[in-house]
Amino acid sequence: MSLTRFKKYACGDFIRQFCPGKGSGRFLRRVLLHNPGLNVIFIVVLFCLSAGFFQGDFCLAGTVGSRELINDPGRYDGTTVTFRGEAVGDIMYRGKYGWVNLYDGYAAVGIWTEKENLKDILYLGGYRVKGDIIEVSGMFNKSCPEHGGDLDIHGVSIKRAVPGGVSVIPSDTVKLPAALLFTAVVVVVILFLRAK
Amino acid sequence: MILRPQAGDIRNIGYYLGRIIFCVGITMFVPAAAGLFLFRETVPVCDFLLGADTAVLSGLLLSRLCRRHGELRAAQAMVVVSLSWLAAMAFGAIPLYLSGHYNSFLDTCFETMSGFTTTGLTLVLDLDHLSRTHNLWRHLGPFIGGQGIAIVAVSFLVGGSSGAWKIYLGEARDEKLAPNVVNTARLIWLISIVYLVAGTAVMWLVGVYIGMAPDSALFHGMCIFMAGFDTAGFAPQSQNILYYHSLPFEISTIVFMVLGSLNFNLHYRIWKGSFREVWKNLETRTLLLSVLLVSLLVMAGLKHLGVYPGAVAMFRKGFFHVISAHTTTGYMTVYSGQFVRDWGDFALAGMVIAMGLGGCACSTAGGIKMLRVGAICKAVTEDIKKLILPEHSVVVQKFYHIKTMFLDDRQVRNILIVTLGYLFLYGLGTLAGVWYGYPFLQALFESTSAAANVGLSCGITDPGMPVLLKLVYIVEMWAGRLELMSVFALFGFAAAFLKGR
Repeated sequence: MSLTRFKKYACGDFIRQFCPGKGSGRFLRRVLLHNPGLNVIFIVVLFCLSAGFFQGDFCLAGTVGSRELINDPGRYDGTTVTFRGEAVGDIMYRGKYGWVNLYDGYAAVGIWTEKENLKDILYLGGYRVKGDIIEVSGMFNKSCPEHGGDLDIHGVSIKRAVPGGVSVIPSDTVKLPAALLFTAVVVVVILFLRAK
Repeated sequence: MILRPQAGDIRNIGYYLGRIIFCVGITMFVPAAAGLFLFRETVPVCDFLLGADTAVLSGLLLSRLCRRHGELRAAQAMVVVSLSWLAAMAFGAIPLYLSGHYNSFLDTCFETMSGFTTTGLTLVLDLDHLSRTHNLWRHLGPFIGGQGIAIVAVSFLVGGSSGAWKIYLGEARDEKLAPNVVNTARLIWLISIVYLVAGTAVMWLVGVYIGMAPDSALFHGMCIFMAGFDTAGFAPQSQNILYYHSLPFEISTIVFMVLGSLNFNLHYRIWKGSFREVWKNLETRTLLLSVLLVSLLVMAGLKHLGVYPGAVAMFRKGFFHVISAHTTTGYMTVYSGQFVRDWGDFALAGMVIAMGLGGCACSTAGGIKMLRVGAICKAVTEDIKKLILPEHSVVVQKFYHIKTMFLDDRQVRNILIVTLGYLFLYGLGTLAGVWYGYPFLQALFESTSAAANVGLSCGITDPGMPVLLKLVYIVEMWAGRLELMSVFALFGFAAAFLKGR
């Protein structure tokens, strides 16, 4: 496809889709369709803007991982972040607030939030227990002035994204008989040696 | 002329080594019983039965094959000690390896050596989902290793023998609490167990106060006390002490870290009512001065970079980590990466100094030790005095440590040999780290942490780190815990075996 045909058809189709034929978009549509040279410039500018949007604001407003928070804390310090991770260990209530630690596969991050927000957490990760996957939005602190310089998130809204549960581990068909048999052998050896 | 070791030497070493391996196996029944009756974790119990059975059977067969052949000589005792720590590492690693939370058997050996030597560097994967039975073993390791694996076995389960004192010396202890070495070992255990009961109770109360469930608070309290008092730095959760987000918890751990780094002899004197000992003792004075100076360095570094929003936060983080480093515990309330990214080189250098100097002699702490640092300072003062005073004047340097002692050249020589040995160890690990491309200061930090049995990490210690670096750190932890002498004896024994006549 030649550049002229690209400008006229491909870009034209894009502009027809992007700019509505009525209201405020009507003028823009008319200008762009009658000036094929401007079509390409318009699309390039739109692309650049969207790239900037996705690289910057989107990440800050979207879910961030503990790896980013720990390795580049200055970037997120004092901003509202959304963090998602498995609730592990204990919920520690402190008056009207409480702590829960969320583990996202890289590290666990402490969440400080109102007591009410923690009521929905039913499962806390541990041995044989898969904790609830919690999505929390709140202010990230690189060195929290309220909590002695801890790296934490002051959660405003918390929701249970994926419920956890107790995983049933079937009795090990190799380890259990092996352990019992081996113990019996050791006992026999000890008795034999003592008798000797 | 170097004499090749005779069959009798090897039989003697094998006999004692077998008994110690047997004892390591017996200790594995403790977490097995806890797992079966308290935690109701069947599969982990199987892991411990398999590990315990392997150790008990191997120990029995070895001690049967190598019957005791006369008195245990000093060189043999040192070889027994150095080998027993390696054997304890290998057998102690079995249940952890079976847990499936480690990438390789080498990683589990690293973890076990780190535990027994009260270091606290960890390679565990997904610690937050590890069973309580396995976690108990991780924390019991430092409690056993802190008192000395070989001396525990010889004093309690093998029955005291004439070789006990030599083994006691081989484990880098040279102070008697009682005239008899067996009684000394028992007193050390008595002190540790009384502290364990009291410390667990305190940590449990603090845990409940900060909002933990009572059963969880009890488990965490016991683990944190064992790893804190024995200056190991392990914790049941991946965030270490940061998990608790609590000032009272941090203060309690600071108290236990300091208590753990004090000389057992000093504890005994305090028990006997001699509180003045604390202020008179050269070691405690040196420790206090050193903590103050290093705290100033670290705080200055943190203040310069404005790492923390206020003086309170800066003091809380800075002081906690200085105590953790100086007592060679290794508890952390920051993430490993924060040391490098946020703290800056100056504060990091302060931490390296604190780790390198270490705690008190005849304690569970590692590093060069305060008694040596104090004695070196005294020796330097003596030399300066000699330069200043008239030529014919006699300068005698004395210091107080349990009793008044005179510092002679022979003592200073011995102290400097061990100090140089530690500096060599710190340098060895640093070179290995730099070889693998880590920045110098980070490599020095991690190496000092391993060799001084601290356990703080700036992020190098990771399951994905190079295999050779893991091996170097294992050697550093082992040699650092035994203060090198027993390790030298082992190398000497191997050399005599190969080249002797």
